[in-house]
This record gives sequence, structure tokens and C-alpha cells, in this order.
Amino acid sequence: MIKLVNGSDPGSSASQVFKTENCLCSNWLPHVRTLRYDVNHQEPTIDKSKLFGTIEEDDIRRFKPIKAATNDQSTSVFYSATLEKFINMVMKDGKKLVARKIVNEMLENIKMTQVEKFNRCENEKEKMEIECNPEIIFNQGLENIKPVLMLTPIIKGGVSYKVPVACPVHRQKFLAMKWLVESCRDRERKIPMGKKLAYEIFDAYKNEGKCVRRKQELLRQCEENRAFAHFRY
Amino acid sequence: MAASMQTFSRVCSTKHPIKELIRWQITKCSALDRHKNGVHTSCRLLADVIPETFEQKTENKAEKISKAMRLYMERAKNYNSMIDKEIDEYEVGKRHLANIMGEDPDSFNQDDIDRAIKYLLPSGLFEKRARPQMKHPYEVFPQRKEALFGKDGRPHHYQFYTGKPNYHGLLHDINMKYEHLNATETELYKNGKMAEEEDKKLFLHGFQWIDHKTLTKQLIEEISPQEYNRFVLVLHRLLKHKLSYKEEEFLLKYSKKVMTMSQFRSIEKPLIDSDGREYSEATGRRKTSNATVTVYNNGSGQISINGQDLAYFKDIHQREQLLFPLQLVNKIDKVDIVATVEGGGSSGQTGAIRLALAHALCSFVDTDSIERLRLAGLLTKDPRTRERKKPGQPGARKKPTWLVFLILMYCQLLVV
Repeated sequence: MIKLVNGSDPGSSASQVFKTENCLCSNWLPHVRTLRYDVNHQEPTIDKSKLFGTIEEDDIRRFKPIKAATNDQSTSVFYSATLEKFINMVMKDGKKLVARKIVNEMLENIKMTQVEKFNRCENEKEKMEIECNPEIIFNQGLENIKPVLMLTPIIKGGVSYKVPVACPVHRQKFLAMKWLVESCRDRERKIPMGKKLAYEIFDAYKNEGKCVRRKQELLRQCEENRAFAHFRY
Repeated sequence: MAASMQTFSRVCSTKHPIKELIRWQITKCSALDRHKNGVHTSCRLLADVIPETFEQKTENKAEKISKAMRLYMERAKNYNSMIDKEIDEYEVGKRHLANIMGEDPDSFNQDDIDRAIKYLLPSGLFEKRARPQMKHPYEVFPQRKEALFGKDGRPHHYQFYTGKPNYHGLLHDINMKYEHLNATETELYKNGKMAEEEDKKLFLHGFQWIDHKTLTKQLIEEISPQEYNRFVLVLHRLLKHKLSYKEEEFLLKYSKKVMTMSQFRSIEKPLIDSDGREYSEATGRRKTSNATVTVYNNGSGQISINGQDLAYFKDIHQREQLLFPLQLVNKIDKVDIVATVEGGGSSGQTGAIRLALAHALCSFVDTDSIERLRLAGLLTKDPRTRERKKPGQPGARKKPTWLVFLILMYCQLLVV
């Protein structure tokens, strides 16, 4: 498909002179069988700073209908897109309340542990370095689990090779969260899920633990299959 | 050109079959020519030039071309005369129609004609194109190009042999303009006058390139999607040039203005209560829930849902959802809300109230805030509903185990 320099697609039903800078992924459609929304509908802007900031005259959102914000999104201070995604991944059988409770427990556990550490610490310098915001710890832990490369099967000459390839951003996010949840589900059933998640996050924050090991295992395999890297092109 | 030349032979008298074959060479022509005086026009012409002897069938090239040219001119002339006749009939018919309707014939335009036809010849047909209509001949008959080559068979357009001269000519023009602008730019740089041109860069705000169909109509040629893409790319390249303001008129010819979404919304004024208080009402729906919300201006942040407080919703996140539109327009403790909601579950009811609330708030805030509400997705009705269960499956997407599924499909095939 021919693409214009500024990202808009001339093959689409209305080829435009607009900027698509603020679209989540301008040329990526989710892989579902049917979409309830028209192709023209744009993603809503939830970031308050962006809403109150300057939106240009020729921004594509001014000329297109916008999708409805979901029941999880809001412009409040407590909203975090990463956490909402994580809640969805923890959720089973559509039980959102339970999933939300678990994730809140995880954040609470992280906070409690850090505050305890903070109160016990006598050294002023060390005290300042203790991070008490559970969201920051969660995000940092997740970053440490995200793999930079991944293996994709490419068939060449009838043989399927595992080729190391740059991992796209949305895939990185998904893999990190998936590994986190999976490793927690494998553990002892008697420990509540919120606690297990907190333990895993702490390990990941320090670059240790099951998830980080899994990521390093993947990167090692990519390194081994380095010879096939040129198969990508 | 009207049609490709195809010869098929029709034997008239079988005295000398081969001779007759040559005599009655019929060329495939358009339907317009067919029923003129009951004989193919082209047949008559050919009859004049039929060689008497078999040996004379080898004519020189120039004569052949001039023959083709003559036929072509005839066809073009006939088409033009037909169109003129149709236009005259249309004009006369228009005046008659105006007289029937009792209106002024001079100021009777196409909208009036449509109205009149709808009134005089009402039709319940679902297909709108099958209903009786009276349109200008240019819209009814497909537009044709003028004579493409002269009497000597030489084409007029320099791109004739591409098969799509108008399209390729247009691309060539755009590229020539681009080259010209490049040359101008070099000159300006040489003379040191480029700095003056800095502020004059052309931005076509709120414009969009003409779409595929319009281009096809304009060029009277079949344009494929790939060719259209190429056209847009080339046009865009010209627009992005620093000196494109010089070609503004040309570029505007191939663009059309787009309306912003905010222009579609009418500003609703608030109503006034019996107590003299300003209020506005709105309804909202989500899944199977229906909500009606009344927002009173100059309030103190009191919320009532079906007679209860915000505690009607047990989940904190659902309460947060109701405050979402208020927080965005800074009206959290400044308005009173009375909401009634029925149907659906807690999540659906939340969505319904949120939508109704956002719509009701539009009467009390400025256009910038309304645009912000729209961009945040608060003014759109969520179209997602529960997906139906399909026959042969236990659920909407869930399928039976593979083998059972196969057997099921096979049985269905047998039944059908």
C-alpha cells in the first residue's frame, strides 16, 4: 500500500492532507472479525494535557467521528492505561471486579513493603532513594521484563527457521504482562494473587526473578539464531 | 473512441459468396446508429467503397485511415446531434412541467423538477434509481470525448497512445509544474531571494483531495485504484514544495473542502424551570439501559440517581465514570444532576447516564469544551451490544470440539 510521507494512506476512502500524529496507530486495525465502529472513527484522546493543549487546524480528529470512551477510561488522576490493560489480562471469565481487586491488592502490597522499608531506614540518603509510588515500581518492573527481540518462524526452502526480529512495542507490552500473569498463576495457590504479583514485580524491579529470566532466555535464543537474521529481508 | 472495430460477415445473396463477404462488411457501431432508416449507416458507406474486383481489395493505408476517420466523425456528429435534440426536449419538457405545476417556467430548476416528478408520479419502489426521474441529458447519457484524431488519422493529444491521454497528460502537467518550481527555487537561491518566500508556504487546511469517482468523471476515463493512488502521491508532492503557493489555483481544482465535525452540532439553549432555574435535559443509551438526565445550572454538586445518591453505584469506578464529563468541563460542584435510569446492568447504566450527562452539559459550556468532550469520546453513543448466538454453536464465538463441529457441518450440508 502506498503511504504518504505524513502517514496518511492515499488508498483509503478519503485521502487527506491531514496530520495523523495523535492516532494510536494510524494504519493498524485490530484483528477482529467485525468492527462495531466505522473505519473512519478515531480513537478518543484521554490525556488531559493533550486535550487542553493545542490541537492543530488540520488535525484529522477535527474532521472524523470519535469512538466512545470505554467504561474504564477517564481523565482522572488515578487512571493509568497500562494498569487498565494489566487488569484485563489478569481478568478471567469477564470478572472485572475480581481482577481490579487483585491488581489493587498488588499495588497496596508494593506500597506497604516500600513504606515499611522507608520507615525502618535510618540513613537519610538511602531514604530518599526508596521509591514509594507503586505505579512507578510496576512500570519499571514491566520495562525490565519487556524483550527487545523476539523469534518469528520464517519458511525458506521448505524449512521453518526461528529468526530473531525486533519486537514491536505493543507486542513487548503484551509479552511482559503475559509472562508476569502466567508465572504468578503457576505458583502456590494458597498465596493470594495480589501478593504473588507484588513479589514478582519486586523481583523484576531488581532485574531478578522468573520473568526476567524468561526474557533473558528469549534473548539468548535470539543470539544463538543470529545467523538467520538476514532471512527477515 | 466509441467501439473497437469488429468485422463479422453476413452473406446476402449466395451467387458469389466470397464477393458478397467483402461487400457486406459490417462494423460494430453504437446503438444510436443502428436504427437510422433501418440500415447500418456504416454499411451504406462501405457499399460506396466496395472494390469491384477481388484484386482491388488491397487499398493503401491512407485511404483506410480516412475511411475510419470518416466513420468516426459521422458517429461523433450523430452523437452530438442526438444530445442537442435531447437537451431541447429537456428544456421544453421543463417548461411544460412548470406550467403543469403552476410555477414560473423561467426559474424552474432541477430541485423543482424532482419535487414535481415526485408529486405527479409517486413511486413506492425501493430502488431509487428505478423511480421515474427527469434529469439533464448530460447526467443521463455517458459523457464522451471529442474527436481524438484529425482527418489524417493523427491524434490531437500528445499522450494519445497511452490509452488514457487525459490521465497521463494530467500527471505530466503536475510533474512539469513541479520541475518548474524546482527551477524557480534554484534561481531564487542564486539571487539570494529565497528568504522572502519563507512565510508563503501553502497549507490547505480543511481540504481533502477529490476522490476516485470524481476524478474518473472529470477525466472521462476509467481510473484504477493504483492510478488514483499515484495521482494523489504526485499532487501531494507538488503541494509539499516550498513554492507551491504559486500553483494554488491548480491545486484547489483537485481538492474539496471538508466540514469539521463540530459544525454538524447545533448549540442547544438551556430551558428555564418554573422556579426560574436554567436546566437542560438529555437522554443516553448503553447496551439495554436507558437514562434521562436533567442538569440544573448554578447548583452545588447534588446528584440523584433514581432517587438515591451516588451510592446507587456500589463500585468506585462507576461513580468515577459519572464524574468524568463533569471533571473535563470543570463543573463538578457547580451543577445539580437528577438522573433516572432503567434496564441493563450496572455497567450499562453507568454508560447511559454518562452519555446523557455529557449531552446535557453541552448547553452550559462553550464550544471549546464541547469539542473537548467530543474528542474524549464522551458524546458518542457506544454502539457495542451483545453478539447474538449462532445456530450450530453453543455461543456467539464458541464452537463445539473440532470433530463434533465437522460432523455437524456435514449433517447440515446433507440437509441442504
